[in-house]
Amino acid sequence: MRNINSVKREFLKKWMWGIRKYSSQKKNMSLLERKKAIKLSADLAMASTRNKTTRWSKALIANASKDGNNKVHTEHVLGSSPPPRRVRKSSTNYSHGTRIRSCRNTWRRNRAVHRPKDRSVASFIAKKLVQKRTRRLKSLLPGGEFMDGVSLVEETLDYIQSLKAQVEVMRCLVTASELMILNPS
Amino acid sequence: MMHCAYTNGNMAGDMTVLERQRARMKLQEEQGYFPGFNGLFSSSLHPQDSFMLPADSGCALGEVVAQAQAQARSMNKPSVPGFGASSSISRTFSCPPALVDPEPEPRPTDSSIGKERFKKRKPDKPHNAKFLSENDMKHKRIKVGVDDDGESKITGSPNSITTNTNSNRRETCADTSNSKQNSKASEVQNQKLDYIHVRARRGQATDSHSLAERVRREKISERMKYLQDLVPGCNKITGKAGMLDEIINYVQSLQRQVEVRVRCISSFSSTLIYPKFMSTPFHLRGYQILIMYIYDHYMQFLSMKLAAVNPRLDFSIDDLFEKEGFPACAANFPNIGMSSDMSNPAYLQFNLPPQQMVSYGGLDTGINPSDIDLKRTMSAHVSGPETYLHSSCFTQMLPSSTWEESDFQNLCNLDFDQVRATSFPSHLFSGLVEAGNHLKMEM
Repeated sequence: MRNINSVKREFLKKWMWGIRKYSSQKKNMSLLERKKAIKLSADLAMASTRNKTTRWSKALIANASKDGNNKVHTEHVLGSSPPPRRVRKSSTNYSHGTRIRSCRNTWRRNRAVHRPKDRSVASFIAKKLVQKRTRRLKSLLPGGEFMDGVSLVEETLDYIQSLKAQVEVMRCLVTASELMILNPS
Repeated sequence: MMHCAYTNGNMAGDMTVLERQRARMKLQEEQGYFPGFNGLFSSSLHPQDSFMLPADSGCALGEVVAQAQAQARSMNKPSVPGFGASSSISRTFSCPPALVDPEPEPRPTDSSIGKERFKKRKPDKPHNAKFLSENDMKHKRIKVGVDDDGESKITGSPNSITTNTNSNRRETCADTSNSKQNSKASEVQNQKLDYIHVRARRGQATDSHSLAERVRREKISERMKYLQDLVPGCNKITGKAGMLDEIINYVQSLQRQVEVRVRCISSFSSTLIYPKFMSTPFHLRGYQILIMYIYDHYMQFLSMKLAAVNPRLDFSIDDLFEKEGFPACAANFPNIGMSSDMSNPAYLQFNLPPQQMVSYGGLDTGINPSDIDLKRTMSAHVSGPETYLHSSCFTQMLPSSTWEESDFQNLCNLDFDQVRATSFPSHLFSGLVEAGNHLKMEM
């Protein structure tokens, strides 16, 4: 699907560009500010490699632009104003489905009492576990609260790939810096 | 094939669905992969036992499919066994010749058979089947590369889509979680019963709902299969809850790693760096030159140090890394203005995860083990056997740094393109060293 190396390269380019944009605005930054700048640029770079095709990237950008300080930078970096509507609006299809499904689930759950033989206790417990974990996963994923099961798994897939690429790029950066430090010749 | 039609002709009305499935399984195991389709076709078309499909030609099969479809449409709905099956076949026959993959699939379409069988009973079943097929095609196009790691081309993707669909369906049928099997089996019974006693059962959700539910569940489990390939260590775990757990842990660990690295990078990037970020423009050409410079530099150093250093020393340094007390480093950190607890775990994590990363596999290039070696050798060289490496490197960091923003990129490109790095022409070295000196003078 996506070549991991090209993803890494793209991410690095955009990240560096974002950092430079940030630093062009403020000359001397404290450690925390720098950290924030790096993190923000990394987030935006990661999200823009997906080019807003995935839900989590949209959510990431939306979250980044929500905060007033970041908003200007975000716009600057991305070169356009982020979509004004909130993330929730973009998931109208899914929210409708989830509302219906949640109603149906409560309906089913109420009715499940009536047929104890078909659903054993073990399967009920398993279902509860799965629900708990999906809730946790949704909390981890940016913009994940509004996704239903299928898209959640897809988005997780994508997100994991991007995170992996990001981690590797950063690791390269750190090792490069170490090399440079120890070998100042 | 003979067996298939025969048994189905015999047991058409008497067997339950499960028994039919089991018979089909047996047949298909005997016959190997391809007659999965034959089995699907002939078993589901049991009224039309005359369809003896040739074992090889996909085109012939396609013709037969068309015939069956024409016939099936003429039949009335409750007894139209072939319609659902043929719609599934039409989905899989989007590229007929390529479907004859030499992949053994002993039970390729069991679950699809089962599913079609239940779909037959629904008035909106064709719609469901087509909808499912469209969605699957769409989603599989995205997901194909995950499995093959970028190997599959666009032309190849429909093949893997269909085989994936079938294999996933088979796997979802055969997965080991008891709850799923129980629920599936019971739903099999329920479906059959629901069809027959459709009014007698009070209150249960109508069949289309549970059908949609099952479709959704199977989609989810398909995606979970992809995730299994992506997340390391997930191969042994079956069942949704355990895999979700692994996925959650993995995502959390990745996020934590990103966080740690961001912190480390931010601590590295002192005020010396940002002016460079601003000043050096994005010249791709310059990067390529620098790649070579850095690589040259790197490899020379590495080869020198690897030759010189005793392997035993490496281990002792590692032990020191692990056991070295934090107080030794803490004294150095205040000059940099970092909190010690922030950077020490960062550094320990930097040393240890390279080994972990290698075990995570798949994405590590060959440069990374040499990274580890390089670190060890550097430590041996710079600090001697006692002191903690990174404390000394931190004190050196602030006064002088020959850091160049483009250097990072090049080093990263080294990791990315290992092949390019290894095939390195030596006649460029001299020019590069000059370029490197020039850059240093800039700073």
